Formats: sequence, C-alpha cells, structure tokens
Amino acid sequence: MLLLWFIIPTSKYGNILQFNYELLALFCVSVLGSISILLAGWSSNSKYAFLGGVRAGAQMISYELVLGLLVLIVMTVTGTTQIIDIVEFQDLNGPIFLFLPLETILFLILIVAETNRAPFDFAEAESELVSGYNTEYSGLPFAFFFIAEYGNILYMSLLTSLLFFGGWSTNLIFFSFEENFFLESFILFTKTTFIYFFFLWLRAALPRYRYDQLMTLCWKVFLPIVLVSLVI
Amino acid sequence: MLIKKYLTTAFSILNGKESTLRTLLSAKFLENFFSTLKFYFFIFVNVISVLIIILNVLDTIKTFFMAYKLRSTLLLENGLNVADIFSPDIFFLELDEFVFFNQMFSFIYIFLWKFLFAILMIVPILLIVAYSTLLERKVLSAAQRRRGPNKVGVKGSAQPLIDGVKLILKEIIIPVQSEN
Repeated sequence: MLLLWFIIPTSKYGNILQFNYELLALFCVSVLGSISILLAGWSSNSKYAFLGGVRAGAQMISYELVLGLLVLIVMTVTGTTQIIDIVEFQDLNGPIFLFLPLETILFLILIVAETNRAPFDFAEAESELVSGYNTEYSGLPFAFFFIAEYGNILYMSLLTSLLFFGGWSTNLIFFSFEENFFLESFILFTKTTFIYFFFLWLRAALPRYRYDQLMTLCWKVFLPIVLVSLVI
Repeated sequence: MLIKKYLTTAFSILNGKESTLRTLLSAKFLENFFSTLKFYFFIFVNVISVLIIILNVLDTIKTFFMAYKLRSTLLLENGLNVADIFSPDIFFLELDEFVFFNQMFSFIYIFLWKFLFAILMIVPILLIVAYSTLLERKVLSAAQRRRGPNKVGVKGSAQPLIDGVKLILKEIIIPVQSEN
C-alpha cells in the first residue's frame, strides 16, 4: 500500500501509467494513504497511536475534499485531466498562478495541512501525543512510515509545481530558453525544491494550530471560498 | 480617516504579539535564515536535480525501446522482414494467427517494460526522499543557528544513507506481556 506512492508520482515526468483520467486516479490513490495511517494507528493498540491516527484520518479526509475541488478548478481552466496537457497549456499561456493567485495560495496552505506538517501536524504533535500514529513502530516498519511521509511531501510539492507554477515549461515569464532535456528537468526540480523549502520555512517559523480551529478553518473558510471560486 | 484606520489596523496586525505574519516577515528572522541558507540550498537543489535527471534518462531509454518494438511490430504486420523472426515456430503460423500472436506478444512485452521501469524508478525516488530529510535537518539547524549533521561523510552528506542502514539493522521490539 505504501509503495503505491512511488508508482504514481513517476507518472508526472516519466509517464509509466498514462491514461485519460490521470488527476482523478491520483486522488483515488492519495485517499488510500489516509486509510493506511488510520489503520496503523488503530492496529497498534495504544491510545497515543490511536488518537494520532484518528486525528490524521479526519484531517486528511476533510482536506482532501477541498484539494480535489481546487484541482477541479485547474481542470476546468485548462480543459484537460492529463498533467502533460496542463503543462503544455502553461507553456503556451504562462503559468496558472498568474490567472488564479488566490487558488495558488490556498493550494499551498492545503498541501501543508494534507501532508500533516507543521503548523498542522496534529498526527504527531510531540507535546500532546508521543509521536502519533507511529509511536509503537520501530526499525523497518518505522522506516516505511517515514519514507511514506516524506515521499508524500515531495509528491505534493511536485504536483504544485506542475499544476500552478508551469512545470517543466522553458517559457519563463521574462525570458524563454530553447527546449533542452536537462534544462527542463532542472527547472522542474528547482521549483519543486523551492516549494519543499516553503514547507521547511513554515515549520521553522510557525507554532502549532489548535485542532478545532483547524477543522473550522477547513469547513467554514476554505470550502466556501473554493466553492464560490469554482462557480465563478 | 478610513485610510488612517486601515493603516493603524494593519500596523497592529504586524506588531501584535500573537501575529504569525510578524514571525514570518520579521527582518531579523529572515536575515538569519537566508544568510546561512544560501550555501546549503543550492547544493541540495543540484543533488536532487541530478537524481531526477537519472530518472529522466531511464525514461528516455524506455521510450527508445518502446519505439523500436513498435517499429518492428509494424514491419511485421505489413508483411515485411518476416525473415527477422527469431523463433521458427512462428514462421509456420498463418497470417491472421500470426498478427494476433504478435499483438499479444507486444502487449505483454510493453507491460513487462513498464513494470521493470516502475521498479527501477523506485530507487532514485527513495534516494531523493532520503536526501530531502538531510535538507530538512540542515534548513532547520540553519534557522536555529546550529550546525546540523556534519560528521558522517563530507559535511554530513552520508547521513541519510547511514540513518537508513541503522533503521534496517534495528531490532524490532514487541513487549511480551502486552495485549494483542
């Protein structure tokens, strides 16, 4: 179940699995990740792990909804569900964050909440639960959870750079280069590393949120904004 | 009046004790943070992008093989180059059966290639994940004015690999008297 994470991200730049409903399939698989965390917390028979798993499950499911609606906005703007076509659209018209600045900022906040990172890291809040859903795991099983978490973060930052910041398109805002294989991959992963850096910046700077504030933030602030912008 | 009110409220937000914007945008924090980070950040951008270039090279090899296979199947379907068939059993089949067999074979072949490259791509992805953890530790240490991991390898460059080895070699402890 955890290795599914590593097959799907490759479909961006590698296209191992290439079919018509790529983005929808991506979200189907990313739901499985929250289920795995929920099961891991529940099955380890410890109250800290159980609480952490339940928190992570509720948080990830509620934020998955808003994230899916945001991706739906991108799909309606570009008119495709394939990531390659979305990047080609941005290559022609310029990156999407120029058209949808509000949605981009929302997406950046939402992926932090989706991947259970600070300031939204309730799944493994060290001061409240010992270390959340992976308290009872050590050695290789813990390594799997660790890899899954960081793979998830990198995958989310890759998705953001593809959907909103132009992906591998060499047509930058002020100047454009000739299409070059190595340059394209370098551009894409400079963007991805900058977004990963944004994650770390938030972790270094901000204190943790409160859990009820988090859920009201999701259901009463983000969801109406996204629904209204979807209608517009 | 309105502008003055707006400015005062904005000022109070920026100076308020519980404001998160204040910590994110305060000049001292940014100065400390970025001045120590420039060096590490570009090194890790390079490392990660080199790994991704490896991924992309793997992908081009795959597409090359796929195109080669597609060309050969097209040639065979048009009845050309029948002499290139490797196994003699196929030679005695009739044309319809032959085309059918060839399509089946190419389908399995493409599936196998996809499977192989999916497995090959896992290794660079795992490496990227490992080095992203090192990047995280370095960035957090720079934000708190520490040095971060700098003992294992050259300036801590082998730290994530050794961490992984340690986790694999670690004994799994399950308490005997615990409920199951």
